[in-house]
Amino acid sequence: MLHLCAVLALLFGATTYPAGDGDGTESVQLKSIHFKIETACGEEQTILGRLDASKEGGATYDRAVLDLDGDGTPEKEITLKRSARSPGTDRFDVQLRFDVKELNWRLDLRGNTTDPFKFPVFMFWSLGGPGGSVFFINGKVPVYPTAEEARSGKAVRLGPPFHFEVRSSTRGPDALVNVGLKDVNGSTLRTASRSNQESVGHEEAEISLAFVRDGKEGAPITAHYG
Amino acid sequence: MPVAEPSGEYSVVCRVDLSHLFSKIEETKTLSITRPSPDILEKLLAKLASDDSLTRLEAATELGYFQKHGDRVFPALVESFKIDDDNLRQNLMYSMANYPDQIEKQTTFFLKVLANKELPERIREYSAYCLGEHGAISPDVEKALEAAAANKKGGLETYALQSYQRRKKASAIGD
Repeated sequence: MLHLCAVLALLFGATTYPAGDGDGTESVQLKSIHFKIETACGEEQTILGRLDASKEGGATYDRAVLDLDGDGTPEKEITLKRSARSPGTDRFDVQLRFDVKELNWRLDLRGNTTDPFKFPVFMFWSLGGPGGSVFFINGKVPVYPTAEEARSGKAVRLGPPFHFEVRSSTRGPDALVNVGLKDVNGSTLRTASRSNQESVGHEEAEISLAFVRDGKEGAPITAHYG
Repeated sequence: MPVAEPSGEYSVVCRVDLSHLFSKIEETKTLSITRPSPDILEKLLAKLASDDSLTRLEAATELGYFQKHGDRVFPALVESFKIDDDNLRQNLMYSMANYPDQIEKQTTFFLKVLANKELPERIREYSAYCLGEHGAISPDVEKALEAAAANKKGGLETYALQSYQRRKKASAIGD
């Protein structure tokens, strides 16, 4: 049985560690999580990635390996800056940071350690560059148990195309309108700021909405993000 | 954001400038607006007296948004506090705190709730929180919050006192 587990671990790239309190009475197969990232700011790039538990005895994902040019050879190994397993739960919460030329990308992944392929893996992503930054929240990441499936499967796309969603609701006596900018992963733009060339600091890039009546646009209303 | 348009379908143009990293984005969308009925206030006031606890709770929350009708809504919220339902009581206080033109009445009410030892601790604790966040800046409020915080160190009452002191300091700077 032990021999079979070792073979399966080699085949599927999984790591076996003691579960829960680490008293060694039970083993949990912490499965490697494979994913594909498409970055789309200027030049597009495809990055293959994997989350692992790096050390024996670790019960959560604390290492990410990125193949930045998709040639099958990992170039970047990241010890994850934030890797938490909420006590008493089976959640993981990790943050990947990687730079491509002058662009600083960040991808936060949140999911389930016990069965990462059954439950959605949620994500936040941000991009910072000389011109400013954007921050998107609450999207979903396709994840796979093998590198081959990630390579041929759907990517998490950081960048356009974007689309607007508008909806109306009521609160007390008022009718409210909510407008959000979404990406293809279902994330919503939370903040966007431009570097202010004239002075030190940033200015917010705001979403605006204008009603069209008789073919003419009314005055734009500045919306809150989300 | 609130809009003044009557119920109906509208064409709207949405824009955001992300050209610092991506591009400017513009889309025309169809938006369907449904305004609340003109008698929404009457309906919600009636729902406060419903036999169903969830209906009462939803009405209590919604009634926190009728700032032009504070003189009418506030007494109804106070009256409903007699119903022995702690979830409702908490929502009623939350809504009361949303009426800045009723601040004196709010403060008097929250002080009474805080002092009433027959009420559950959760409700008295929440009234301390409302006083700390929204109550009038006055020696009576400060004294009540200090006593509550001293009685239960590290609880919501302590947070309420800190919140009150921050507001007191900010209001002195503004003067």
